[in-house]
Amino acid sequence: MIDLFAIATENATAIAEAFAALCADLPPEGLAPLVRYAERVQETGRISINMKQDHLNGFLTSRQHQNTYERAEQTAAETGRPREEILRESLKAFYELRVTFDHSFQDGERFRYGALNIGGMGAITYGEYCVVLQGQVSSGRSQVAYVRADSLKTYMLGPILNETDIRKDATPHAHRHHLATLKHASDVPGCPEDGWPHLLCSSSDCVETIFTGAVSPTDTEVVRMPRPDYDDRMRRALDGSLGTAAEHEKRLLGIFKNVQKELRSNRIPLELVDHVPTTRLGA
Amino acid sequence: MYRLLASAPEDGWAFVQHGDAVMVIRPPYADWSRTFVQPDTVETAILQHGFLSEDRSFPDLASLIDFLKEQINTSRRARGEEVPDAAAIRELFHFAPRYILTEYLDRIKTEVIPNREWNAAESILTDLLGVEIIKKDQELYERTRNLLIRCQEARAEEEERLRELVSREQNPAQFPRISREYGPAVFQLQGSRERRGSLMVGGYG
Repeated sequence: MIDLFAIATENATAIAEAFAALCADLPPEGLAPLVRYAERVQETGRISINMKQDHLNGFLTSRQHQNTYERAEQTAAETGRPREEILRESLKAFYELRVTFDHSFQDGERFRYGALNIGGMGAITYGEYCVVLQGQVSSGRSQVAYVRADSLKTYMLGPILNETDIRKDATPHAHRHHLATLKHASDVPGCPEDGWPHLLCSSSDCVETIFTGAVSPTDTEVVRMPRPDYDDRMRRALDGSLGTAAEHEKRLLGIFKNVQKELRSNRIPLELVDHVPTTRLGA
Repeated sequence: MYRLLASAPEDGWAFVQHGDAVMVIRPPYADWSRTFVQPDTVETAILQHGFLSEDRSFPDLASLIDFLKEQINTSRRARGEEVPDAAAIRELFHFAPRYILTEYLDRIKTEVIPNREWNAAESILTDLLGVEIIKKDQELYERTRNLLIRCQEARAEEEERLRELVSREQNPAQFPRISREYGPAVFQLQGSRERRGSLMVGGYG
């Protein structure tokens, strides 16, 4: 089995050299934005995980993040059903892909997946809350690796792992800014700086972070949420109070309230994001 | 035809195919909360973000949304979760920012009080007076207090009007001609007819 984190550590020099080679070939006007981009990623790059409300509520109240296997194990313990049956049921046609990738690596079932984030809402398509972990979560643990993009889409050739490519791309924490800059070298010069967060991390693309170890609410630096969602829920609280909200709205408001309570009691700031660059219906 | 590809039942989220387009649909199911996505995001949603793989079709968007709303209820009932009551939801007031609190007061003034929902308005306004942001903001506090007073006055006026109406019906001296012509028993008759929904006093004489 492959030790992803050992490979990433071994790649440090090669990634740094590739970055240096990129910079050496550029004229000064092309170099400046790349260097600024790399510096911004190095200084502000954090791991983010997008969560839906129920997932975030579970994370805050159970005080632990669960990956696919841990969730299945918990359901198995609660229901008495076999873990594999639960995994197959939830993943259906994608079961083999998930399991083949994870089982190719040491500790693969302990992998947590996040994205490298320098601001914005991240992969909002998968959850309206962008949970940003503190810097020390990634800098302070040895089992962290960064890869160019979504690992399953990028490194699986059908049911087979593309070992050559993942061995080449896996990057340690200290060089994540080099990987991000190498990936976006052709995009950065034409992209305004306030568009860099979306360039680095969106629903359609990201530099993926794979790491192991426990993650709890105390590891959270900030939670971001789109302002339209926040305002809508807060406004509906009055309807809920007047008894005019539908049952499903009341249930969602109850969870929203719990999330607000937990964020406050854990002293986790909630940051509202006004501009979420996505394609909206009718836009 | 709308084809449900993946869902998160507890949150009411869904990846849906309509023609060639794939979109994410989520509460509150408004246009702004619908987003077009690349078809391959469905796979990522299932593999990495806990969405359940689905394959069922709906004739229109409304029936799909009804299904998602009911999924929220059934999945949460299955977990044994109670429906939060008004008091529980009102705890959210303590987390609301100033601009939302101002909107609450606007709505109470323009919708709730004119609709004569006295109990709800008084209860909400009383809770709002305990909200930290309002307590510390003299303008908001005064506005909330004044609305509460206005609500109590309006309720008192309404109750007084009702009392007067009842008292008039029960006092033959208010209607001496009717009392003279038909006797005091007519007021008892009127009362019983009114309770049945018709009013017949006087006539063409």
